[in-house]
Amino acid sequence: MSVKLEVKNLTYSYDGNSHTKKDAITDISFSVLKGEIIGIVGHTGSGKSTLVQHLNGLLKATSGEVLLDGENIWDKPKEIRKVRSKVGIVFQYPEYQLFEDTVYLDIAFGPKNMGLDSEEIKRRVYDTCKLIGIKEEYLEKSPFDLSGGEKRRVAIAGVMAMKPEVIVFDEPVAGLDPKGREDVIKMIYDYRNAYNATVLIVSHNMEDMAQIADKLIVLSSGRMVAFDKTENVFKDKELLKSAGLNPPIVTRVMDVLRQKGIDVPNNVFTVEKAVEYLTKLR
Amino acid sequence: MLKDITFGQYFDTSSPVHKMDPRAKILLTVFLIVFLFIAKNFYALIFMAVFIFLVLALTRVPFRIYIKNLKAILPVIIFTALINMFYGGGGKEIFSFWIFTLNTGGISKAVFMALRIVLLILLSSVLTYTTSPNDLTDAIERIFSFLTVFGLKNAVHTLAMMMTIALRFIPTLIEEAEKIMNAQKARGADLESGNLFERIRSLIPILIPLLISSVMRAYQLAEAMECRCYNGGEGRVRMKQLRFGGVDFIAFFVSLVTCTAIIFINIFL
Repeated sequence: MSVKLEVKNLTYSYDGNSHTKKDAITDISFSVLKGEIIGIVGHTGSGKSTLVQHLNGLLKATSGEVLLDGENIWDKPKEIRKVRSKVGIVFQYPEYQLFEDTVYLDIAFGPKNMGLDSEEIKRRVYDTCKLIGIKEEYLEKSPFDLSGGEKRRVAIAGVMAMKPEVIVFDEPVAGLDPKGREDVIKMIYDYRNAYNATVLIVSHNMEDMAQIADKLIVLSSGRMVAFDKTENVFKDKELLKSAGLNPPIVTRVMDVLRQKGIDVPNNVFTVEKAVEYLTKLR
Repeated sequence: MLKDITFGQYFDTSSPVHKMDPRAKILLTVFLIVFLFIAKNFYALIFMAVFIFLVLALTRVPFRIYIKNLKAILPVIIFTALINMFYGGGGKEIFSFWIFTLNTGGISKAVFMALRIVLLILLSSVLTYTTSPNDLTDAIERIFSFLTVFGLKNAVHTLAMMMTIALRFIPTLIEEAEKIMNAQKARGADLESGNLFERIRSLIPILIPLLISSVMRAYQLAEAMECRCYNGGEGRVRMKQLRFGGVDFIAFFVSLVTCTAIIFINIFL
């Protein structure tokens, strides 16, 4: 598989002037393959959001570079908006960015900004709605009449309709009920599977990460302290602790069981897996 | 970008001026501004300038911060000076062109006016740099509380509360606006190019969400205030009581002396 997105020695400091200079992120490097789902985890203030805003050029690094398909995204500064249609970002609580009269128009905002013709825009809106399950009768409703979960779905559709090759979610399930959470996670999978897109998810919820992410990037005070397969990261308790994170609850339950002499493995991160092992014991 | 906007400009150095009662500061500022305009010759104005610079030194706010404030108002100062320069004033004629005549009197008048505006700005900067916005609104509420006599029972408190809330939410709104701008930019919104009309149109995707979230915030705040039994100013007491202290009396005394001196200089010099 080919490398889709590469981040090289990325450093960003607030305020150019030397007295108040403070690094928000320091020397971060990683590369992501096509179709991979990467989790970015870290304590509050660890630089997750700052890092993410570099991927589509909302922030410009003090040093280091971001390569998309091997090309520096800032090679042609005038065409940064093209980069933004290739790298989509769904921000935290995206429902607050809805503004159009109808759901259709709001989802069409991104594609319209890309300069597509109206046929293509229409096709994209309908395709996206079909893919992530927004009913057609919703398209003529006002986005402000929808429930919280539905708004979130529409807002995510607004980014997906641009068909970005890399899509970044900042805390996509924050504030949703369990049903809404499952729905959003399914939307992410469906999008990835339909377009073989690269997905990055920012979260501090380890349970979500255990379920979705192939690999994890662990940030701590602006530095990348780990970039590895999810299970390897979760096994390293010391590392997680130093980054101010906890492994998933079910992993901790299994640890306690193991201490009590019950024979369970140390690589269980999801409830499904745990049930599987525990029923075997009976 | 939006973060650069400073509001309230409060600059905490805990100087004696900071410790003054905000009511005293407001009243003295008004009082001194009046005397700035009463001063009618250069001697009086320079006396006032010395006094104001002493106050500036006393605030311990770096002088370049005051200069920054002056820079912003520089066009106004230059404009006023130019107008006064050609507005007669007597004295020896220097040159004359079309309808413009420049006299020595005109120049001295221009300098006088410019100096007066500079002093005015510096003096009012002292108030805004040394008093936090909340203290200011508190003081305004207390100063205008005499209006309750005229049947405006809750109006003064309500207005002061509105001011406090507005000031409190400026940083929140800026933060919110930045978030929404980023989100719309990520959806390809173009905020930087196009003609004036296009630029105004491109603000719609930012203003509508901002407006909606402010209204929501207002509802939430109102509910939170009601949950804590807020029902206007009646019977309300303060955690931080405003009290005139020694510093205030000294300030009043010194200002009084200065102003008396101004009157004497006006008459005898």
